[in-house]
Amino acid sequence: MKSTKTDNLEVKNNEENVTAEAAETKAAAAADTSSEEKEKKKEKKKTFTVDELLAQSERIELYDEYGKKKKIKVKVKSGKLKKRESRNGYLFTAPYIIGILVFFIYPLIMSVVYTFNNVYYHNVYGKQMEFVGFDLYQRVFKKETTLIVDLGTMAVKLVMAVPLIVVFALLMSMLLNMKIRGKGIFRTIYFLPVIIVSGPVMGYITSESSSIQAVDFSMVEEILISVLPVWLATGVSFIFQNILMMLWYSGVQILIFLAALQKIDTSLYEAAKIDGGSGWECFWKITLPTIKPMLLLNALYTVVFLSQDSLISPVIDRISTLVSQNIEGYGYTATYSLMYSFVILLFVGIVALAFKSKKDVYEKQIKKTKKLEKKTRKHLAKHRKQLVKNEIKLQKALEKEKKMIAAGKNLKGGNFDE
Amino acid sequence: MSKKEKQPKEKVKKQKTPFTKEKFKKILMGTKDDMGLLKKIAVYAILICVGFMFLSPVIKVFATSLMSLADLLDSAVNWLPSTANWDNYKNAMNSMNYAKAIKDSFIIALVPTVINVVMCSVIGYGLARYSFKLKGILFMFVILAFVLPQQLTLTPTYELYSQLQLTGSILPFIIPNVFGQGLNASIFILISWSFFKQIPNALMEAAQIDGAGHAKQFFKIAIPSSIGAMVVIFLFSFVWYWNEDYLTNLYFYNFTAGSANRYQFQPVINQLAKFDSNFNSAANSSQAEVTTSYANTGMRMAATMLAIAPLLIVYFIMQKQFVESVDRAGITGE
Repeated sequence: MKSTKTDNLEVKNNEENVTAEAAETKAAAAADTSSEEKEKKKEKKKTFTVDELLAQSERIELYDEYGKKKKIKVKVKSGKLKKRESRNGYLFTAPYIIGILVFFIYPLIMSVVYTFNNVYYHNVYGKQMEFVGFDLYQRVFKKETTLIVDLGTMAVKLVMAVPLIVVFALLMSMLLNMKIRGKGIFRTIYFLPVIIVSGPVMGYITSESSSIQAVDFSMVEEILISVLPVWLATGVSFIFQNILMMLWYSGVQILIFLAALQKIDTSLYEAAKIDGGSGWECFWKITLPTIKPMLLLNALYTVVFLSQDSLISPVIDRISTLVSQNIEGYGYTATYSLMYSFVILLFVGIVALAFKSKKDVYEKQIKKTKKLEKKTRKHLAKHRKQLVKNEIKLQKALEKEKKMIAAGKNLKGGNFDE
Repeated sequence: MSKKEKQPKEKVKKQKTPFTKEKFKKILMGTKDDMGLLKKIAVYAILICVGFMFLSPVIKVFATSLMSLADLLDSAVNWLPSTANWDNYKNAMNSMNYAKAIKDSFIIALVPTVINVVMCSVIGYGLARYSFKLKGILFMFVILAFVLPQQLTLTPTYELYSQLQLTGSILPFIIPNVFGQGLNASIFILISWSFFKQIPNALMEAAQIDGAGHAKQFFKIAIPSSIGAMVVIFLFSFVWYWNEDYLTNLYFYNFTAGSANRYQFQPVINQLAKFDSNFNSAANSSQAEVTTSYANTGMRMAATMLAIAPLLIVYFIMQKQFVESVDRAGITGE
């Protein structure tokens, strides 16, 4: 507050819009433009303090004579305190800004550049790049014969695993959030997968614990394999075989959901109960809408996490060998990983679209009414313009008539006299 | 006093309402405020079943790790081994080079984690406390870095390190962390941000009036009130670095020329991934162990247990703080 009071406020009016005083004068005498412009200039140069502005605020009308909303730009010069604050902000985040530039943006750009170039190292000249266009993409498609099938299988796995994990995590977190005894023990057990989940460990555990399948899916698998194409069937049967392991991947998701559930205001549920809402209704109308952002976050996390797992996608192992051994050159590797990233990004996009917050009915109505308001205001402005024009015409006519009358009076008078 | 008052009241109530069908139903199905008996049983049953499901792989792995070869081949032995066979652990330790592997793993997990905790809290504090022009863009990058797969930037980054001849050293795990670009650093920044955001601004302003500088505000107010975030970040970062087999495999096991005579890190997780080949080569080189010339499942499971044992210990030590701090603010910022 202190700082804002001392700050100078500059009130700038848009060229189209004029201040209240100017508007009045314009309404009164539209034809008189030259004096109005002078006033405009005066208004532009003038600066106000906050108190002056507040005092004036009653006089400032929100709409000009055409019914348009006035745009008043209030430019606040940042004070010393604010400048110091922002400087400190930059100071604290400086490492991150550097990191983003060096370890994120630069590699991102370079990897895109690499996909169009043959990169090789010369003994004398160092790094050499040779522009080849889309050659590398063609080479990847030709050489990596299993790429398409692998990506398809991964897609199927993701399509099945992501909803499974997210829904399971939601259910479990809701159960854990109830009033139950031994909360601590249950949570300790449920967060356990967070600790252990990793590539090699999971590989060994999966190989061992496939014998403790709760339900035997082999019949379903056989039918699926006989019906579906190979790349689809492998993905589907993988999920069926590893359904327990898939649930194991839901540790972090349970954590996130639990945290979100605990933040929901309990008074909402109380109000709903008083109004006679059942638990089922409470879930659909209170819990789910409130934790919807977390649903999106969890789905995204699951996609990103699973795509880094060599059990789900064999592609990343290939990338690792390509990168480290550098058999095909960096250009080829960059192209390969870029194509893989695109598939993941596609999934991320799909998930993001699926959870894109639909505007609720209320917001829609507001938007609708706003549109209508705008439309009517336009109409009104049009009419008013016409009105002003008509008035001007009328006045001109009246003036003419006056003159005529004056002349006519004379004439008439003359006539009458005569 | 209150107990004495309550008891007669309950008695009166019981006398007034005899045990009817409705009351029975109420006890079973529950009212709107309270869970019924049936529901409670269902909830506990599900929780225990799923809890067992979560625990069972670990138990199974542990059980298998104690089995001798005879037990493994015997189809009658499923969960409980006939005798605890600790030889598996011995063999696994030998072939994994366990002492060195554990030491390497601790270095690889601990050093980047400490840097992560420090840097992510600094960055998160900067984002939470101050407002400046680039803030929105920075947030966008935080989320982008979270969403984009790491393979996208892997090639040039690896090239950079191998040109600087940093592969094989621990530096590829330290340098990005100093700049907030470590493994999953976006999540950590968001966690610390959401914690720091909860500190009331009035507290900071009061400190400022009393003459505390920005550094003092950070160290004396912000840090002490967000120990929870640090615990969460520490645990997650430690676990993720411990379990990271992809990057370690990339940077430690594939040397470029020029860095060949460096100390080679061999984290547990990579030793586990290469367990079979390691074991076989060790067994073949030393002719003493002719009887077990290849790794059996029991040894593999013993190796797995050895690889996750330190994590389990760390988790059970820090479990209470962890669960509590997750409760308090959540690990996500809205």
